[in-house]
Amino acid sequence: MDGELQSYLHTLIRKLRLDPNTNREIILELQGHLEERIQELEKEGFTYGEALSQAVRDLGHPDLIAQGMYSVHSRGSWLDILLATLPHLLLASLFALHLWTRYFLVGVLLIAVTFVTLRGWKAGRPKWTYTWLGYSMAAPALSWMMALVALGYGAWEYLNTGALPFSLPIYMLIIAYIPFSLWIMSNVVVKVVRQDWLLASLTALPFPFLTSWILFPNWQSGFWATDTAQVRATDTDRALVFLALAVTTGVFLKVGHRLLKIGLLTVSTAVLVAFTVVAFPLGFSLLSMILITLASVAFLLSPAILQSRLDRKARPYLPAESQGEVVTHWFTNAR
Amino acid sequence: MYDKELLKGNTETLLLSLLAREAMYGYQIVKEIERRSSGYFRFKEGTLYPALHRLEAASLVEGRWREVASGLPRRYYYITPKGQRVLEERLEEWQRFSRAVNAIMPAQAS
Repeated sequence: MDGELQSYLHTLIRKLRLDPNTNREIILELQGHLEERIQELEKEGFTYGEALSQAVRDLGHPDLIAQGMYSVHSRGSWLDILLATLPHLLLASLFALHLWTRYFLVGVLLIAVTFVTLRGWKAGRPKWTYTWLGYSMAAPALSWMMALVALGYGAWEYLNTGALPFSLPIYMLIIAYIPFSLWIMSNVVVKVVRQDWLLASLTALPFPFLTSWILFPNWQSGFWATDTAQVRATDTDRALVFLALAVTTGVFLKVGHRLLKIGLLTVSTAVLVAFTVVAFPLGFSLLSMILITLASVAFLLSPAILQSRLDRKARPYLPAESQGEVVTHWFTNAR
Repeated sequence: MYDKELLKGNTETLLLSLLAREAMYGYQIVKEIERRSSGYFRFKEGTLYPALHRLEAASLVEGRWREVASGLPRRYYYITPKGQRVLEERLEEWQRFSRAVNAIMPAQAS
């Protein structure tokens, strides 16, 4: 394939931000269009190079096509929405019915969620996959953080007492686990971000709330204790938060405009984090609440920075001639 | 500019009208529109495909890949029964609209 054509199609793939199967079909269709147009222009006397430049110019800038295709294909069907909201609804049910203390049930659910995620991932990552992926990633992310804490604790104890708090093989295992789990997580994150950083944000949507759930009981010293009544008293508020996440996900999949999606995730996260801070009796000041809210929103939007770094490495499509015109309609009057 | 305004909202009806005659693929649609309008309409090709995909997402047309002896496979668009019904409704609406316009506007500029 010619360099200019390849560059054009690669730029288009990157800008489409759609799942691999949809990308493939769109590219195949447009490539066929370009090849037929080039053949026709060659018959009219153009050289291959001239015909290619003209065909690409006629088709339009990749931004224009990508924007149109994104607005059609980024919207989910009702089935997508049902499947995508299911993990949030499951979490909401766990809290509403006070079932989260049944660790066996939570373990079974986590395995089921991971299984469904793997099936979705192998099936070409349909739109509903990302919320499931978020909950599947919670386990390695949490265990990674805990391994990091254990590593630091072990080092601290060794420096102070000259002995490790646990056996050397376990300590070595923790050291090996940290880069391994980080490698798995970063691989998944990069793959998702390469497609669309907004999907990585959708994946990360429950993270601030899961973290608060893990931290709050420990703060209250109730998570590992037999009396969890104080922690359970907040279950209704937590159920409401995860219900709101389900609604956010549903709306996210129904709107086709990127700016609306970004606005929705930002506002929803800010409001729900502020609600979470206020709802739980932790005694945070207003400034702390604002900082926590801002940090959560920044965390959620951070995949955008990673994507811009990944994009910078890729070769952009530079039009041969002026293609700066913005076309708003697919007809022009020839007369 | 004037023609663009006139056509706004009718691009999908035009596509459905073409596809009601026979299944076509993207490039063929571009050529067919040019031929039928004697070159009056030219496509901004890059926006044709999103329009076709939008029709497909609304179940008004169905895209099917067909192998071609030489070259890449082509995606042909077929009008669906739902698309046919929508087309009939829109054609009726268009006829009512054009009758009303003709009743007011003179046939020839004086």
